[in-house]
Amino acid sequence: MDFSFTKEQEQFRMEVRQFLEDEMRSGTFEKKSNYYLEKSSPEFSRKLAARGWLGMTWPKEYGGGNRSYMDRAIFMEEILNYQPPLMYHFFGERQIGPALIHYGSDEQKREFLTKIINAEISFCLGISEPGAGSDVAAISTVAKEEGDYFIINGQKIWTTNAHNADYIWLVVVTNPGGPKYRNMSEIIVDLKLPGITVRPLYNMIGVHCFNEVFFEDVKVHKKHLVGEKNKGFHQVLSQVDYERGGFERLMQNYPLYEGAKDIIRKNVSLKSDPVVRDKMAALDIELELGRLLVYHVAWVTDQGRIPNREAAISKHFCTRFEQKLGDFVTELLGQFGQVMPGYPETPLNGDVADSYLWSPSYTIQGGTSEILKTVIATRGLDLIFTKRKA
Amino acid sequence: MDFSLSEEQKMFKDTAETFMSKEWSIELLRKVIKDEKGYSVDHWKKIADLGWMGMLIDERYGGIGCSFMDLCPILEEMGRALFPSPFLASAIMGASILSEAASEEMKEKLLAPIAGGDVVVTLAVGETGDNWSKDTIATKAEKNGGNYVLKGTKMFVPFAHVSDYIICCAKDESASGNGTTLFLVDTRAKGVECIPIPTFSIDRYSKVVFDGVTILEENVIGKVGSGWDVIEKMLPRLVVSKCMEIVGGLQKVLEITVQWVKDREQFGVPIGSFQAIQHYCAEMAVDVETSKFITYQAAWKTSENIPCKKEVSMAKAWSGEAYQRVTALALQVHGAMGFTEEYDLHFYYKQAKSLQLMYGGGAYHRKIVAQEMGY
Ligand SMILES: Cc1cc2nc3c(=O)[nH]c(=O)nc-3n(C[C@H](O)[C@H](O)[C@H](O)COP(=O)(O)OP(=O)(O)OC[C@H]3O[C@@H](n4cnc5c(N)ncnc54)[C@H](O)[C@@H]3O)c2cc1C
Ligand SMILES: Cc1cc2nc3c(=O)[nH]c(=O)nc-3n(C[C@H](O)[C@H](O)[C@H](O)COP(=O)(O)OP(=O)(O)OC[C@H]3O[C@@H](n4cnc5c(N)ncnc54)[C@H](O)[C@@H]3O)c2cc1C
Repeated sequence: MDFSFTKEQEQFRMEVRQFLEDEMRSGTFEKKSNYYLEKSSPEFSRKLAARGWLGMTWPKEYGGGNRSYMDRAIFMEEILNYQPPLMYHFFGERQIGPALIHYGSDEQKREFLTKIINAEISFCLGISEPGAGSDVAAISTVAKEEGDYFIINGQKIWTTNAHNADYIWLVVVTNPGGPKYRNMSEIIVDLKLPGITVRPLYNMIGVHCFNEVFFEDVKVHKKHLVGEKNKGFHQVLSQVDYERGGFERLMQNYPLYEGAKDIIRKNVSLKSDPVVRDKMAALDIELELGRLLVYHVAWVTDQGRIPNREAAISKHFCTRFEQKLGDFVTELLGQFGQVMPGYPETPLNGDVADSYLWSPSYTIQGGTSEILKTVIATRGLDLIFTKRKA
Repeated sequence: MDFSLSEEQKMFKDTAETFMSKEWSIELLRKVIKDEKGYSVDHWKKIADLGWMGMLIDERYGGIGCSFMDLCPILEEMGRALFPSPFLASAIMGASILSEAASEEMKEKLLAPIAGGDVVVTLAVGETGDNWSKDTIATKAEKNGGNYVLKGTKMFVPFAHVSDYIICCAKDESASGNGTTLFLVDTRAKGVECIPIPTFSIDRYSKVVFDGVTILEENVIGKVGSGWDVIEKMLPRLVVSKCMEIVGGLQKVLEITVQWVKDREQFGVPIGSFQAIQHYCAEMAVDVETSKFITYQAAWKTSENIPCKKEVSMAKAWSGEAYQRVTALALQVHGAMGFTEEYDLHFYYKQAKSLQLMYGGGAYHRKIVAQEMGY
């Protein structure tokens, strides 16, 4: 057992931190909760790419760094402390690249991997539909075969980044009426194709992050099908394990945490309040637990295992921490806990109210906490799905 | 980072696991807790033969000189199997304090017998039934010629009634330093009385009265006036040891519960197919996993001598409360069966609370965490 990092890892951490400090000082970005996903900047993503910090874990043959998931976790922990704009490369780098490496054709790998790793293209994820949220298998967007092409009709929703992305990673029904879980496929679709309409959806903060995406007779070449036809559901399942367990589930509102610590330190009456001290210590403990869970997921992945139960536990625990944090800090600020950004007298520049409004989404996106608990129970503890005896 | 045990630690864990499953059982626990001694002398000898009691003792004094981390998997198995014994008191605290502070003569006299399980030592610090602190120590040592006279009462001294010696932390007004000194007290000495406290723990605790006990100067442990320093230095080992027992117990309770909900049928199906039950079990798994990592981290840092006051308090605050939560949920999903004497679960429910209260509960350790955060 060893809970320390290697010298190289510590150096790497400092290197990343120094880069971010410099960028922040020069005004490239503002340190603010949720900005990493609210903001998209091809220029900033390319700076990371130039340093070899995208595709760190990918094999060398695809331009990757062939480094450990542990290294990537260290990188993510540092970067989320600063919240620079990451959305441009985020989905491509986190899960689409790895999915292509696993399931993609040689041509797809050639076409997309280098561009993702160089931050030349941006992806979004088209899974959820109005009738299919937690129940991914209930999707109804259909891709009908016509010669060398698929003709796609249907609608996706909550599609983060669709308004900035070049491609959508789409889950579609390819065998209508076929057996559930064996009728879907994954396909890459160019968002500029005729028949696609992206309509903004504003979240409760009033920010435009996600969208509705409509498909009307969109014609996509079959070479863009990823992996096996009708095996899409299982591909999606194996991909979410990689998506769930990262630091973005623990640190989406991390600036609040640092802010709260600072506010308490500078305010004698808060600092001496036993309830405040107890709650802040409790949060500190949970943050540390979350860190250990995230690093454990990275470690498990480095051992060559798929972090299934581990990632579900991690996301469930970490997002709950984030919500507690948001709630606690609003209370810490009293009436100022509800003041939106822009009003000069608000501590932490309105980050608190803003974050508090973001926080309900943490336990919904990427698999709701209830679904995660069922994953832990059924796949982790081997309990069976509800089934009545005949 | 590496979350796995070393080959050596795996071996210790395997040995402990095999020992506990072959040699120990809840049936034996049921006998032992009714027994006056409160532990099995037979098993005590066996684990001494396995070398466990000498693990923290240097080879020079008849031990095997392992790291604290090496011992942790064994503690985990003890917690899992509910194995009551003066092991923590004697082989961890006794051995650690004597190795750290005692004179050469005292080490030579006591460490080998402790390693062999022939002598049992325990530690008497707390007096209020509350958390330990230097300020609540009222037991007094008065200088009388070359010797000392010890007067006062200690509460919740583990396995004092079967110990040969008690390491007693007392106020020593003649001393400079922090004004506390450690004394080695022979339990057979005149004026020492052990009165058992009836708790629901599987471990035995006593009230120990020192009514004018004469202590020879040679039985002072370490420097006069440095008692509390030694305790504080060794406290992480003690707290982490409790956490390791907790982690072992937590895993066992989850296993028992998962098996139960798979087997128990109501409404024509295993109750483990009801989502309410599944989600309780999932929350239990989260508590088990988190307690494991925070405890292993504290154990590793303690073992490596990396300052870790905060991490140790984090581990105890979290795992202590987690054990309570998990055993309470386990009882809930067991229905009335869990509430019976006949079923085993109640031992874990009781031990969880007892371990949570020992050496500070959540609120106490969060106070330390807050201090360590600079508040
Ligand atoms: C900020 C944000 C960004 C998102 N970005 C994307 C994106 O980029 N791409 C994309 O495809 N999707 C995205 N989503 C959608 C997200 O994946 C879904 O919201 C999520 O899967 C839940 O689906 P739903 O909202 O339809 O809720 P529902 O599935 O309708 O769930 C409603 C409630 O019922 C519970 N529930 C559902 N099924 C069960 C069950 N079997 N057992 C117990 N409880 C159950 C849920 O836990 C939840 O509490 C995003 C969501 C948010 C909030
Ligand atoms: C102190 C005490 C005194 C009692 N006295 C009497 C008495 O005098 N007379 C008498 O007849 N009985 C008595 N009982 C029995 C009591 O009524 C039962 O214990 C109770 O109905 C639960 O049944 P069970 O213990 O078999 O648990 P189970 O029914 O096996 O339940 C185990 C767990 O599964 C859960 N569960 C069961 N079904 C579902 C479901 N469909 N969905 C979700 N969760 C479910 C339960 O909530 C529980 O958490 C007593 C019990 C106690 C503890």
